[in-house]
Amino acid sequence: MRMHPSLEAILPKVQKPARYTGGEFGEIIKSKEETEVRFALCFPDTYEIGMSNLGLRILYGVLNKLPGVWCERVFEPWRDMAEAMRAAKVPLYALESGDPIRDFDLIGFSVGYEMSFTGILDMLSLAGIPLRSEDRKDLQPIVFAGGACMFNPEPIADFIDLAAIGEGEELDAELTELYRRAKREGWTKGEFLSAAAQIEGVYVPSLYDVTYQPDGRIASVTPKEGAPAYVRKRILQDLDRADFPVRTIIPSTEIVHDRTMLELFRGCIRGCRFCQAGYIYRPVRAKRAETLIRQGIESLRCSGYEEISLTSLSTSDYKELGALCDGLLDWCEPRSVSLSLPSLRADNFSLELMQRVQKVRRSGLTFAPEAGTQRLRDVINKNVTEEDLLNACRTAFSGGWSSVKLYFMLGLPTETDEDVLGIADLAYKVWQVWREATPNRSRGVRITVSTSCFIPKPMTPFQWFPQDSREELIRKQKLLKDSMRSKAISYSWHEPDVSYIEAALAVGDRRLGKVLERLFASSGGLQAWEEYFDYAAWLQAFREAGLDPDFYVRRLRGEEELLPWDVIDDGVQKTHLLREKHLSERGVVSPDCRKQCLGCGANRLLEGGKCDA
Amino acid sequence: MPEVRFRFEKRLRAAYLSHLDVMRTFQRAFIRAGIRIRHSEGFNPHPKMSIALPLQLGCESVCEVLDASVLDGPEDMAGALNAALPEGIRVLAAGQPLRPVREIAWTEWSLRFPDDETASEAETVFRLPSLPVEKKTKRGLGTLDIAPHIELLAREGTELRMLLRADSPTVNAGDLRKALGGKLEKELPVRCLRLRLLTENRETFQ
Ligand code: SF4
Repeated sequence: MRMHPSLEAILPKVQKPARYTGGEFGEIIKSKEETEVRFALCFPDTYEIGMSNLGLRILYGVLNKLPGVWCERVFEPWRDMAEAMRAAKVPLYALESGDPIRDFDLIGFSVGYEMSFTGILDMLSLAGIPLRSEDRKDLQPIVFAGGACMFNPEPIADFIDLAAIGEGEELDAELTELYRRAKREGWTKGEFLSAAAQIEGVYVPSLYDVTYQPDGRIASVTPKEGAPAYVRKRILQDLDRADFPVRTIIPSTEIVHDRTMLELFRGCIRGCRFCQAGYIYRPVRAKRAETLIRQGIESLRCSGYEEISLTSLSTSDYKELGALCDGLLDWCEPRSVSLSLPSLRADNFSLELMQRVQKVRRSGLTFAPEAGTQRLRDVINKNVTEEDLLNACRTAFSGGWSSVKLYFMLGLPTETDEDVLGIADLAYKVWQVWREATPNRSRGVRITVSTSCFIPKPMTPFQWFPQDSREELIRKQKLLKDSMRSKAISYSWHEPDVSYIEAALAVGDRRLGKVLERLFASSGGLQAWEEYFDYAAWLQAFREAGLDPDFYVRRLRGEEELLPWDVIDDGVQKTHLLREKHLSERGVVSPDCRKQCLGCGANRLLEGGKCDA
Repeated sequence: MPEVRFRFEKRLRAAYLSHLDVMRTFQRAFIRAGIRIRHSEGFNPHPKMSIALPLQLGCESVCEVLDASVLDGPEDMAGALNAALPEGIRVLAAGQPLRPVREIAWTEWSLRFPDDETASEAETVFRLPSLPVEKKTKRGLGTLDIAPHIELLAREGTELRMLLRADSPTVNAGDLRKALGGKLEKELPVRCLRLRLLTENRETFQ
């Protein structure tokens, strides 16, 4: 890396400077002479968060496999560093080369959390790149975004030249190749974008005219220049054969998930009605246990990590989980490498498995019943019963566990106080079960209840529903807090202020560009961080943009209404979402994909047209 | 295999790795290099290894010392490790420790200043009979006069060569920075490079 001369004076003075130097084991350095396309893979949050993202590591590996393409990493600096960089006029640089990213060809953001939208503006501004797409006239650089948030790209439509919808492994490579051609042949930016819009999975916001009704709802969306009416997401057909980088960058400094991550499958068979991930990653595609064991061991060997975590939406739904854990543990146990299994479900919890895993290291248990009563769990289609949960806890407690975390959501559609109190009841029953089942009462127990606030997310059956008002959410939190009946039960909750803004950004339209711009001007990036989240400034930014966040957050959207993200097609038909919404209103559950296919439409994304749930 | 002493350098970008970062990095590099380290007993076993005189963030060094209890490993441990370490950290030698770490009494430093003038100003400061700096001690914040514990060896252009007391009390590059900051008006970009570890009678410690 060629360090900017001013960095030497800055780095010793900022917190955790190792985040800004690159040079880690496994980073990829290429020769600039042989590089035709320079790709800045950007993550609009800190190094510690970004380096913990498996998707980012996969894309880094895939893109750097392309000859003549050099993909480098860029993260959002913490405030102290950003201020020092601005003061010393050090433009945002890529960690591998130290070169300013404003000279790069492609600038791709991976966006998984709406609250990090302002991070995109922060990074562009630090780089010295005009924020708005329309103010960037040239082919270089092209700014785009991918990730879960791009299933509604509209709120950042003003800033990006295009959005890559769905899984990026093939799509980003195709975009890069198209760019290479455009660069060789001297295309204009407009020519490149029109051509890019023809690639499946590419959405070019400027090629769609949006008009509004007087009340603020969308009146029409009209594609131009041959852009498709619907942009269908991309998926990998065969995950088992897909390239998986076992050699990745090993950060020298501590990050959030500092371990080997192994992705068992994409998608989820469950269909919880509030859960965006459960819909946008459909259909389920699993890797074979044999492949995973090989990749897991290889990754551990190449990394030196002493922990491996099985990451997927619902790990215990993996069909070959037993064989996989056996295979991994055979290698891990003699080497004192621990295996962690997050996201277990209470209805297929296996003590035997947990005990094998626990031999290496005992971890806490986490369950997510999401709602306090069976009625409400049926509404959200969380097919877990009280009995399932208590049985799972009983097994765990009698096996010696003494701490359990329970996750719930407040403000779910149709929720009443009875449902809220049901959370306290359930926690109390868990405590009673512990008293009955534990072999050692004197050790005590820790039961942690956490609630988040319901946020309507695009592409889910609950996308039409409003969020509870802030006052109502605070009232419910207090109600719940006051009804906890044991000292062993602790309760923590998410701030409704953040959830309110997050909801507006999740279901917003492209008029929110003005809000983001104003908010960034007044309060800067890092809005996903408590330290810098500025609620009053957000409200002010909405006011100045002439918009009311309640219009997005607190309104029941009509079923016929044109939604901002309707142009994006994740494979699941809207009719399916409506059907699920109606079932939820009647409190009727739906079976999971493994029990019975509900014909959501996602199977059409597969070459054979058949899901293997 | 008994204790093995790894002498390594920490340069360039690696200067910004904290002591804990370097420990973590070696822990993983050992595994990648196929070197097994003995672990402590108990509920939370950790590898038996230690680094003498942790460097301060931002300082470079060509004389770092890491002692580890090696169970087994390849013939060429230094070579295997170097293939497994990040940029800037390089093992210079792996071998039997000749003396215990507690015999390190002095550290030799090279300080580089932006120009001759500042270097000469710094030289004057370091020759003062008394140089009190604030220092964190076990009993909280205290003041230490570092003047008796530092020795100016030479100035060559923009570079100062100095000896700092390594033990009781420990004086480090940060203390020198603080001392300068208290005397000179301007803020100094000083490049600090640790060159050598020495024993009480000024022999090179290996
Ligand atoms: S098509 Fe059927 S099996 Fe496939 S994801 Fe949709 S509901 Fe599930």
